Amino acid sequence: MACPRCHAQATALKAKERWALVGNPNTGKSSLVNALAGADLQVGNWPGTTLERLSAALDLAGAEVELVDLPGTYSLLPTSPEEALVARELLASPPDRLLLVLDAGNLERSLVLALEAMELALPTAAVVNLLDEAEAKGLEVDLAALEEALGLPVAGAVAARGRVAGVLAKALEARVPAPPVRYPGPLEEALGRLEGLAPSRGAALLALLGETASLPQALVRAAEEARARLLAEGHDPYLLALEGRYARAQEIYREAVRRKSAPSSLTERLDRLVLHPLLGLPLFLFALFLAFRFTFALSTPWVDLVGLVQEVLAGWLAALPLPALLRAFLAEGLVAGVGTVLSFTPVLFLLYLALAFLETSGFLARMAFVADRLMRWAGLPGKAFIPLVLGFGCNVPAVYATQALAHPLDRLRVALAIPFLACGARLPVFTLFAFAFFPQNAPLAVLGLYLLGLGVGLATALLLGRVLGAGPGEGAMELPPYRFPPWKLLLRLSLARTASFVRGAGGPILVAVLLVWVLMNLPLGGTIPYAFLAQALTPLFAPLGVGDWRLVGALIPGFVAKEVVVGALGVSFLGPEGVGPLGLAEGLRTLAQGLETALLGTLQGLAALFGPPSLLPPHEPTPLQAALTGALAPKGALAYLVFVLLYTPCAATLAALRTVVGRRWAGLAVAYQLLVAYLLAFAASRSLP
Amino acid sequence: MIQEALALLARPTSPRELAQALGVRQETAELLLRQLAARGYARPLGCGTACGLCAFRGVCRPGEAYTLSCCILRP
Repeated sequence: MACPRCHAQATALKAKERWALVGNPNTGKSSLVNALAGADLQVGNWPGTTLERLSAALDLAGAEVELVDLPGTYSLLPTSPEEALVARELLASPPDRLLLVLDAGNLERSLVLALEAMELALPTAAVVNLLDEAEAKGLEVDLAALEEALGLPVAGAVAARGRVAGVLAKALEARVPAPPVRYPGPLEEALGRLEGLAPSRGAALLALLGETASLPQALVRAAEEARARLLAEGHDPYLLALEGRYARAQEIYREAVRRKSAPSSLTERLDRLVLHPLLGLPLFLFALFLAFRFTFALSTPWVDLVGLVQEVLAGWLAALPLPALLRAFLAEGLVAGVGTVLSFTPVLFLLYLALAFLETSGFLARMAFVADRLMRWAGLPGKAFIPLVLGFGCNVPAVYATQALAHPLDRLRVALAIPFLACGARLPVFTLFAFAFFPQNAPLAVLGLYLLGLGVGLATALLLGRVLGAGPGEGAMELPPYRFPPWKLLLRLSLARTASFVRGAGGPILVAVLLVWVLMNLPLGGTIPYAFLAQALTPLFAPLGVGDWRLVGALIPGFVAKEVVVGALGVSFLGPEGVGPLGLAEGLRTLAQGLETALLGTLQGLAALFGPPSLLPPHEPTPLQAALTGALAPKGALAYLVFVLLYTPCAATLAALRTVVGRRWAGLAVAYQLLVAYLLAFAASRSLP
Repeated sequence: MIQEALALLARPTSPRELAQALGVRQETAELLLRQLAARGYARPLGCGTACGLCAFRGVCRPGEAYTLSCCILRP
């Protein structure tokens, strides 16, 4: 299909192309990639960064096309890591085609970036997405008029509902646009002088505004001189550029958009309630509570099923004629290691699903907005509240969720604060000890530990902010309209993110589990390293009032997963639980029953979503508690609890930290946490008579 | 347009006021304010600064009002 209103020739399609989608945040770029490609979303990181890279492959008229969703941006002159990445990608490794994704409901604002991107002189087409929302706002976008004004092929779309017909055809007609903005005279003259040195008018403009990254050195030097000349003449190039771009965006908007009636939108009505100064925070907490309930009520049956599969596999291995050590390695090392990785996947998948829903529906942005004032006292942006609260469920997705924070320093501070928060895995240890040693005040003791974790985490963020000189945090926030997200996109995003976790953290967790197994099972010089290590470490714990090596030893496997501490204590104090051999048919029957229980549990979990929360498990292992009270005094128990709360994060959290903040900071976090845990446990042991 | 915006920002100004004065959409005015603030031409006012734009201290929203932050170069 030809583009009669375009002013240049269409660019021919090559056998292999990379198309980049550029647009403001919340313009539905991910939905568009999903709707165009159908499946196979790839989630990864941009090289050298922790920013998420979403892409998809497309087979188009015999050509191999990679659709790349660039982070949302407002300008190519960067003010955040995301914007810097977009500018770098477009300047240093320009895509074969540029798809400008414009928000039909906020077309004027979208045009400001579009006009800037058009100056890069890349084959370009535009997609006006979210036409349904524009209609709901009483706006009618004239696509033909927009095509005429921009001189580019323009397609309309409602990507979230799969209405993308015509987008690929227009993308195939992409062409290098003519300069879309006529800037005030002095700036045009300066640009003219840089013409021969710059790969594009856009690059010359960026250089003139002081940008140096990914631009030729000769251009940067010439631009510096031109800029100095402009300033000496009393012209600020930045303000002149804004003048030209905003005026042109306003002009095009007036040509292409007609306002019909303007009904009070659903977004406005809902925002009156959700952003209410008094009701906003309780509503926000309720939404988080629902996200938690959804995640844990629905994941528990599947985590149990993973445990059952482990037991059945161990039973089958026990029936095989294998040497005892090899059998133990396979059952308790390999199967347990893979099981540990898999046991995180239901929790992560459901939490990612809940988060993706909150994120794409527009609710997460409002939660951050409401929490902003609350978080400012810790010098953190409102968005930091969400990963912090998630940390109470599971530290692993919470650490990954910090990637939503734009400033790297905020990301670092929140990521290092999260491992102090009492995740769900620590609750069995807390309840075991709290009911054994403080039966009258057990709920209070558990609550105190939760508050202590939060306090230490926030103090860490505050301290790091002071030490590293953090700024005032993010400024104004984008509040997109409420949208009902497409389920397919939510499922694909959650699956891709969970798969990314398994790929990234699976290996380190497996290695950690195998290492602990080796320590516990392979004799070295006549002794078991686990017992040797535990006994060697015990004198260090004596000042905390913990003198039994079995208690100290249980902290070692706790590094794999904190809930393992209870199991290790059970084995140490009461002896190991033997796994009997299992026949094939019996095992399959057990698995079928387990699957049925998991399905039934999921249905019950759905029904229990709105029920009252149960904070404590219904029963506790009494014989173990009796054994523990004989081995430890209450003050030692309190110190032990504080240590379990605060010491090194579990292997999966450590793997997540390594991905998000890098190996060096993750290593530092381990050392810092051990120190803080020891000092506070010591203080706790002195707080009781 | 930009000179007019800077003149308005001599006193605390909300995106709504700016949008009305410039004849642009409020979202566009918000972006303009953000881009001016990003380069240090304007600064967002925090809550409780008595800027006079909201009735009660402490219930205003972060980034709701902006003002000029430094000397602006004028031709």
